[in-house]
Amino acid sequence: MISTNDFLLGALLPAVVAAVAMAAAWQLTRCATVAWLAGFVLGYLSGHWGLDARGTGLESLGAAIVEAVAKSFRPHEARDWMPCILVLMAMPEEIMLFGKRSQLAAWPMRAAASGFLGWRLLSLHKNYPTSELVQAGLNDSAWSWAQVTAAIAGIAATVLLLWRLSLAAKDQPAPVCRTLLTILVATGGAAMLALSGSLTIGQLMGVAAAALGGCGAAALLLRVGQGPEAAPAPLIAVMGGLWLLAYLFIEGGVTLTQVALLVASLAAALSALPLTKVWQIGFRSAACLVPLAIAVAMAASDFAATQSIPETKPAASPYQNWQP
Amino acid sequence: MKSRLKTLLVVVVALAASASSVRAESYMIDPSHTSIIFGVSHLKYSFTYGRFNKMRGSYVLDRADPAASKFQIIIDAASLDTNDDKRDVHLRGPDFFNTNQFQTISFQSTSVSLQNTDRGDVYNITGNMTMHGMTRQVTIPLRKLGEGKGPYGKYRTGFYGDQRIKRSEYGMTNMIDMIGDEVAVTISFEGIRQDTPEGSGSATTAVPTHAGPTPTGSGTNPGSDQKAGSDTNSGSAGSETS
Repeated sequence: MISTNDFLLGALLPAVVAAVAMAAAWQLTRCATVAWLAGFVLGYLSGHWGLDARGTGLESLGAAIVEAVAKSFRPHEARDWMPCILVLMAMPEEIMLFGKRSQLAAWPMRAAASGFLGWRLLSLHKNYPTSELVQAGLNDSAWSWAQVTAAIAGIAATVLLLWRLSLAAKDQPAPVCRTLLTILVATGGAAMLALSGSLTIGQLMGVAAAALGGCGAAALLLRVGQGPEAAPAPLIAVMGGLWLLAYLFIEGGVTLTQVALLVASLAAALSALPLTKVWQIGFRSAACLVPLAIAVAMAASDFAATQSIPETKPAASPYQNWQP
Repeated sequence: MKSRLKTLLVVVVALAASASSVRAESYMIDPSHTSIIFGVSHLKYSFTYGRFNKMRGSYVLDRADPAASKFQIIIDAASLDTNDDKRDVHLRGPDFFNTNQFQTISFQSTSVSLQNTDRGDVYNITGNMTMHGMTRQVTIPLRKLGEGKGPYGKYRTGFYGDQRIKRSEYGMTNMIDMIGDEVAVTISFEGIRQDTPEGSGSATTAVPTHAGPTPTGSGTNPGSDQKAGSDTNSGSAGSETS
């Protein structure tokens, strides 16, 4: 199901772009936040556009990539909004680079960006109060405005909580452990999404994992000294956005429980838990990997159940004794 | 003299308008006797077929001036059915139709022309087809298969058409290597005439006809004979339901 092109454009390309961008940014600025921002954002965008370029039908790779990039400026499907959401959520991190005074502006911006993520993806769903079917009176399961408001508030609060937890881990020891765990969460999340009924969204999560891998490798080689907690916003934007997309748009594919398990897993990977002793590292790893494993196992179990061919009871078949 | 001329003019205009309204017949599509089938290549080894189970539509047939005819249909995209639940869920998802975002498939005619062929009347319907949130112009040759009264007395016309479209033109580009880009679409439907309150028009005078031979289109043609006027309606489009 995964072709060579998928691997090259959705895994190798984002990993290489992320590593090169991170190395360049680190050499220029010696700032971990700038390096992680540049690495992850450019790495993810290259993979997202690379995968989109496959479907343009254009033979020239250059023209196909231009078309894929242009698609992000005129989003059509919900997932086309991911680059915009990513860039928007990276902005408060950039503002923070201008010193402590900018913190006053950063948190309202973070809140607005988190609210935008929830609103933008929810508003494209058929149950949104202004959707085509609801307007035509053909959708009995339409959400009320109160439900929509509560959902957006809940999504924004979760994103902000993850943001706050990961920012608190800045300058904490053992960044390599956080980086590895975060890569595992992204990889597990990609497998879970692909098993849940959408290769497209699973592949985009794979792009995020590859970009993280590229950044992690570059950070290790260049001794950057910080993990993804240096600039967690784009990471949270992509992971949160894709999980929300999967929950909303894969019919019966991803449950709220699975999303909650993934959020818990990411929180454990990124947050400022102590990491100085072996048992602490073990505890954090367990707190991260156990919910991740449960979420993936749930998806794998559902997938296996749908792939098995049910046995036909002999008595139920009227053709059992049929002879030509 | 002037007042007589004015009166004459008014009468002529009124008659013309009346004649126009008489010859244009409005129909509601009968979902129970409507089939929308699609077929697509699987790995280039076989064709997999599916259908859409929920739709509604209407059309206006103007026999004197076919160009004034109009057709429209709207399909619930989530009602697709390929006889495999898991595949249907996948097809409804973001990899293909993304029905939680793009809920309907619609067709609205923009021009109609009539062609008399040795196999009967063929209406070439050009219009805007919207699928997966993208609108493209398509032309569907609709052959009138037959018309006449059903068992409950309502007047029906029936059509058949097939066309091939490319799903990539509608932004559905996933798995093009495995699941074919070209999709054969076949539609066959009956419409129930919505009689005017005055009961005017040709409703009471029309004679059931048969348009000709069995449909043999190049699409997902089921290939079965369809006899005009053989009505076993149990649907809900018109007032002829049981």
